[in-house]
Amino acid sequence: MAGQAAERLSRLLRERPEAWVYAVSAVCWAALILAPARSAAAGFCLGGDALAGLSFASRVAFARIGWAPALAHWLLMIGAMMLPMAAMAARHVAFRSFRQRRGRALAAFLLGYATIWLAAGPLYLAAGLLLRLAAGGSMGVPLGGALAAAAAWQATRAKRRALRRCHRTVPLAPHGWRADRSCLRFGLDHGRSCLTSCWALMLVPAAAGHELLLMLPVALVALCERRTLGAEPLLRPADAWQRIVNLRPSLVPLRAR
Amino acid sequence: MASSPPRVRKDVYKLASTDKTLEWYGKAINVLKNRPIKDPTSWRYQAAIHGYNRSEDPLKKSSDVLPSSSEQAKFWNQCQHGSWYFLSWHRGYLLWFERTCLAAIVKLGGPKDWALPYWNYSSKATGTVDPRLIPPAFRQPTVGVSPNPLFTPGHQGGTSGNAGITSFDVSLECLKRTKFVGASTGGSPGFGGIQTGFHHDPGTLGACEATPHNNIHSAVGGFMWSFNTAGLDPLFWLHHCNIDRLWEVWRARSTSTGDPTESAWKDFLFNIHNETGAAITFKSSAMSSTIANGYKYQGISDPFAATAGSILASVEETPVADTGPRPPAELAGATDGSISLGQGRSSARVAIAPHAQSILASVGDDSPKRVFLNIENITGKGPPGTYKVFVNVPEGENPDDYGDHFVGTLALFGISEQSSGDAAHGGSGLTFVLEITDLVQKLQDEGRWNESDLDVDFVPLRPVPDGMDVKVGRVSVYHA
Repeated sequence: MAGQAAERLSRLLRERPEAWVYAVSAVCWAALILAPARSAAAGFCLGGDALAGLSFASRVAFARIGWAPALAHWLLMIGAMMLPMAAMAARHVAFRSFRQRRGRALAAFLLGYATIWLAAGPLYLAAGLLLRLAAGGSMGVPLGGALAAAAAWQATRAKRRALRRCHRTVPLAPHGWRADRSCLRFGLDHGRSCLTSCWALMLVPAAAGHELLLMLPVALVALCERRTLGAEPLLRPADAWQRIVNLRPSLVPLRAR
Repeated sequence: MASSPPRVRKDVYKLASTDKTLEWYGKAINVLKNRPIKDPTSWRYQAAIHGYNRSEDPLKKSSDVLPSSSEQAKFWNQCQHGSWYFLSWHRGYLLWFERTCLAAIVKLGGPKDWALPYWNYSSKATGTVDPRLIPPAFRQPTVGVSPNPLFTPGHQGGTSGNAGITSFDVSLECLKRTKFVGASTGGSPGFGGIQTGFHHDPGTLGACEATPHNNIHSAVGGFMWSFNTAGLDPLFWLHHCNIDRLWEVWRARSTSTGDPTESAWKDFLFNIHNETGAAITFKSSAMSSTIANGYKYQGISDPFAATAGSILASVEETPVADTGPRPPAELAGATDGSISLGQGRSSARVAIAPHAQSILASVGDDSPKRVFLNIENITGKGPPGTYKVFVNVPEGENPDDYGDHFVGTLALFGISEQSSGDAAHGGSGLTFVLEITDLVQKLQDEGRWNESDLDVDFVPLRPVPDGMDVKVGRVSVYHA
């Protein structure tokens, strides 16, 4: 029984090496849903009543306490929301590398990709915190601002261009340090395009204290526009249903051919 | 109510001299051309559904009023390339274009059973008729004293109709693929292309899309050279009817395993307008049957059948046994850098990894092992040229003297669009997959197989158009 399961797993990973990416994402979602992550979030989000009656200086001092769990939470959030965005590029990396060095190639690619998003983390945390502090702990104003920024960014040429670059694949060197370098570089490029495309969307959960209820729809929008109409940002809510319908088949795991 | 019999798409080279199909086509084009670009049933809107780039628009006027950007995003630049939706999306595209023409024709008092003709460039030349020439009705700028609505400037060969189309361009080897869906992982590209999401760009091309589809675009030239102008050439629609017909030919072959059964293919929704200008959606699977969509083809005989009157009937039948589940293909070797293609011969050497040498060496031992040459991430600019690809031609020899080392062509239709950072897939370029199993087996049988290296030569099929600048990102070998 265990042998069969191991064989099935081995076959799955051989045919769908990008399954690693989804698996890590699923673990991150699970961690976010569990209580420790929520308390970590509360540590830096300082939303709602937590700040009532505190002076601005007190709020900043109080906020400093929350940085470490906040960054940990950011890591989980990126893992949950952003790793699935890189799944197709990871598949490209895996199959354009020798099987023997597939793990190493994926690691180099994901390191590059995650580096970009992790580097952006402190900026998001600072922006979200300052907005909420300035708004006196209220969530409505920062959230409204983030939603407006996200909607405006969706319609820009830069957004469209970045979204298109998220579909880019590159030739990879096959051997040695050149192979590692080209996978890392591809990861950095992919991460940069991804951040440029989705930075405004990601402001929404950041401004709202990383509420799961907002993270899920934001992740869905980002995935929809990435997978269903490669070229075009999602502009009209009326088109969302078709995009969701088209997302379903595009998430069906690619079969070995 | 009895339904009407299916309309028949006829071979343009077999139309009777009294046949009015092309005359009505020309009249319909004139009607569509008189409609503004904002009208979904206009000639320019119909072409923009395939692709549109304002800076490339040869018919652009300052007075143009374009559809809103959200309408453009939803209905323009929709053509599916490098994807398993290539055939089904283009079938839908042809269908509503044809119905739009038909509506105009009927309004003019024309036949209600009018259908687009197809251009079967792969059929055998008979007497003075050479089907590889651009059909005569499309060659002259005028008919009498009036402009010819079927004419498009810029075709290679000018009014002679001879665009230099060769037997390599019209090869129907793609029909021998037994599976519709190909692999994105270096293995067989399948007849119909690889599994993708929405894919408005070539990536890895399916066998039918690569040849003859891309070859004809690249050979004919003019508007046919670009995604963004191709639909403005009346000949484009005849070319795509033939590609659509080849899907029917493939489906009718006994070795074919049929259309994809996955809901990921069947349920995918596309946006388009119908002949009244109303926005509709269609499912990929709704395009599986021509009869259900009200038309059929004059001829779908198998060109490889022993009795077929095709020049290709003499080609040895070797069905490509790509049935059954197989593990994904694996990389056996690749070049370390890129290769520039130019006006002359270019060469690349692929080092086969030590662990893969024994695997490739077993290809000839009655093993089901297959070998594929991947020409990856071809980027460039300028008009698309076409290259012949040869494998392991002895050093210092002319590849053209080694016909048995020829493994396929690279027709680079779409290369400019796909190389720009603004392209839908961010400038990934084109990737071709050519099966070389038979050649590897032959070289091994003859004791001429080199285990450690594979030499690949690229030779222009026709003089490369001026201004073309092309780079192959990587050449690799996969075994499956």
